[in-house]
Amino acid sequence: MPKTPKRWTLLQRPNGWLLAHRVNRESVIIEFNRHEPAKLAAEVERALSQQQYTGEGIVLGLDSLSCMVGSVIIDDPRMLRHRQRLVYEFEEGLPVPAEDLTVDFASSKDQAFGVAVETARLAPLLDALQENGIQVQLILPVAFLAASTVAGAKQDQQQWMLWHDEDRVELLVLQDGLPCDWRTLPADPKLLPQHIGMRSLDSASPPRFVFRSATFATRAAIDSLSDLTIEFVDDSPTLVNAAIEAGDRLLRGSSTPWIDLRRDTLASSDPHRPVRGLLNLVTVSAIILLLSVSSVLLFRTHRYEQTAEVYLAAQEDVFRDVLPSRRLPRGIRRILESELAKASGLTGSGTDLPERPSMLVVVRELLSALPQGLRFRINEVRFEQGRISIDGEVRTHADGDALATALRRQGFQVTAPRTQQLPNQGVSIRMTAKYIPPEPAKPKGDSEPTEAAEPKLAAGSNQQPANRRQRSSLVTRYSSFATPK
Amino acid sequence: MTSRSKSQLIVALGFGLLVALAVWSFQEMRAARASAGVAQKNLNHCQELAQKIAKVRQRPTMAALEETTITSLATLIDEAATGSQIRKNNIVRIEPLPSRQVAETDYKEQPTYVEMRGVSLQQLVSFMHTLLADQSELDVTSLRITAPRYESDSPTTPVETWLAEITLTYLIYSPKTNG
Repeated sequence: MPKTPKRWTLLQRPNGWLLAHRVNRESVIIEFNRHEPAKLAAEVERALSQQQYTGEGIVLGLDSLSCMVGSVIIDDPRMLRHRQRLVYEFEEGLPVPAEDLTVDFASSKDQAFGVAVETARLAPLLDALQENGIQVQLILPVAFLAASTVAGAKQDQQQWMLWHDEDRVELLVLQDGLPCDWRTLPADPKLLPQHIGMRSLDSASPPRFVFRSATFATRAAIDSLSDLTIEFVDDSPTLVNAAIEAGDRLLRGSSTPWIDLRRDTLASSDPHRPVRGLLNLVTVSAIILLLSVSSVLLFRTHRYEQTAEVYLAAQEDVFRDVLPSRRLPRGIRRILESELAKASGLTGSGTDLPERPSMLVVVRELLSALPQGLRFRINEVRFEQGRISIDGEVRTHADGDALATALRRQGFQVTAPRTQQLPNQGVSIRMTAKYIPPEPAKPKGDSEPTEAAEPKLAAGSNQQPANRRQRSSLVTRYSSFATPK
Repeated sequence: MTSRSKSQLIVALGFGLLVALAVWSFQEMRAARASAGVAQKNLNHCQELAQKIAKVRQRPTMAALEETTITSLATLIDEAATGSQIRKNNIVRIEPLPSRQVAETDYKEQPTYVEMRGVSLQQLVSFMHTLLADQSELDVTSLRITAPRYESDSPTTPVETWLAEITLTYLIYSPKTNG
C-alpha cells in the first residue's frame, strides 16, 4: 500500500523555527534554534530526510514581526487590475521602497489589505531550502494560517479575533471572511486592555471580540473592559497548532490561502510545482500516447508494405504466365502493355489498316462472274488492290456489254467497256472493275443476313481484317479462264 | 542556463522527437498505403493486360515482326510451286522490292515480285493458296496474268498456260519508337 506523503509546515517563531506536520489530528513538531538560512535549511533537510521526505511542497509561515501590513482604499474597481499601482499606494505607508518588498493583497470590493515582507531578508532562506531540495509552496503569516481555520464568511459583518501567542496577542479583523486589519499587541496584562480599547475605536459600532488561547492573566486584564463584548474560547488550539492544521489543509487543497507571498521575486523557480505530479502524469501519458500512435502507425506501415509485396509477387506471377521465357523486368506493367501492343500489332487488333479484299477472293469472284454462254477471250488480267483490268476479245460490241453486266451482277463496280472492231474479226474489249466486298454479317438481334452478305469462303473467315484473312478452297473453283466455247 | 532550464529543454527536445517520430510514422504509413494502392492497381491492370494478351494471341497473326527474316521466302515459293506441280524452271524471277511504310500506321510492307511462265490457272491458284495458307503474314497484293499460250504435252489435250506476275507482300509490324 503506498505511503501517504506527509504535509509539512515550517513556521517562523520569535526564537527559532518549527517544522511540523499533522498525524491523526495531532501536530508533530521539530524545533530549530538556528536563524542563519544555510544552516537552518540543512538541518530542516536532515530532519525531513529522516521522515522520508520526497520533495513535496511545504508551507512557510512567517512571524508577525517579519511582516508589514497596510490597507489601500479602492476608489475605482479598475485599480484591482493594476497591481503595481496597488503596491505603490501600499508603499506610501511603509518605510521600505516597493522594489524591496514582496506584497500580496487580500482584496475586497472597497479595500485591498496588503501584507509585505522584505524580499532580501526572506530570499536567502528560500534559496537555501531550494538548494537542499525543499520546495516551499506557500508563504503567509502564521497568524493568517491560524485565523483561517476559524474564520467564517459572514457577509457584511466584521469578526474581531484575538489570539494569544506567547508574549503577544494577534488581533485580526475579518470583513466578509477576508482580513482587513491585523495588529500584534503585547500580551502584557497592563498594556493589552489599552490597545484593545484603542483598536475598538476604529469600528463604527462596538465590535464583538472572540479571544482564543487567553491566559488567566490576560483574561483577567481584559475583563476590566466592561464596555466591550468579548467572548473567550477556552477549547481553542494554540496559534501554532492552528497554523499547522491550516498548513495541512492548504497542502491538501481543501482551502485556499488569503494571501501568498511566494510570488514576484520570491516566486518559485518551478511555478507548476503544486501540480507537478499531475503534470508528470500528463507528460508520461503524452509520451505513452505518442509512442503508441507511432507504434500503431509503424505497424500499419509494415502491413501496407507486406500487402504491397504480395501484390508485387502476384504481378510477377502474372508476368511469368504471360512471358515465361523472359526475365523479370523492373516495370512489369509497362512490359505487359508493350507486349499487348505488340500482340495487337501482329494480329492487327485495333489497328486502322485499310481493308483490302483478298486477292484469292477477287480471283474467285471474277471466275464466278464470267458468263457461261458467252464466247470471249481474255488476253490479260491485272489484279491490284481490289481493282481488275481486263483486256480481251469478244465477238460483238454487245458481247462486251454483256460481259460487263455479268461482272456487275457479281458485285463488281465496272466502268463502261471500251470496245474496238478488230481488222479480221471480233471486237477487242478493255474494261476495269472494282470488287466491293459484301458487308459483314450484322450481330444477333438485327435482321437476318442476306445471301449476299454471307461469307462466301468457308475457311479462315474470322472477319478480322475481313478479307485479308480469307483463304478459300479456291483451287476447286478455278475454271477455264479463256472459254473458247 | 539553470538546471531547471536544462531539464525543461531536455523534456521539450524529447517531446519534439516523439512528435517528430509520430509525424514521420504517419508519413511512412501514408506512403506505404499509397504504394500498396498503386501495387494493387498495377496488379489489376496487369491481370487485365494478361487476359487481353491471351485473347489477342488466340487470333491469327497478320504481320511479322521486323526482325523476322524474309530470306526463306524463296524456299517457301519453291515448296508451294512443288506442291502445285509447277516445275522449278517455270519460276522465272524472284525479286525483293523496296519496303514502304503503310500510311499512318505502324506497319511496313515488304513486296517481292515473282514471275512464272507457262503455268496453268489451276497451278497458279493452287500455288497462291498454298503459299498464303502457310504464311498468314503474306498476301498477294497484285497479280497479272497474260496471254494464254497453248502448250501441249500431248497433242490431243492442249493445256492453256499463262504468264503470271505476282507481287507477294509481307506485312511487318514496325512500331515507331519514342524519341
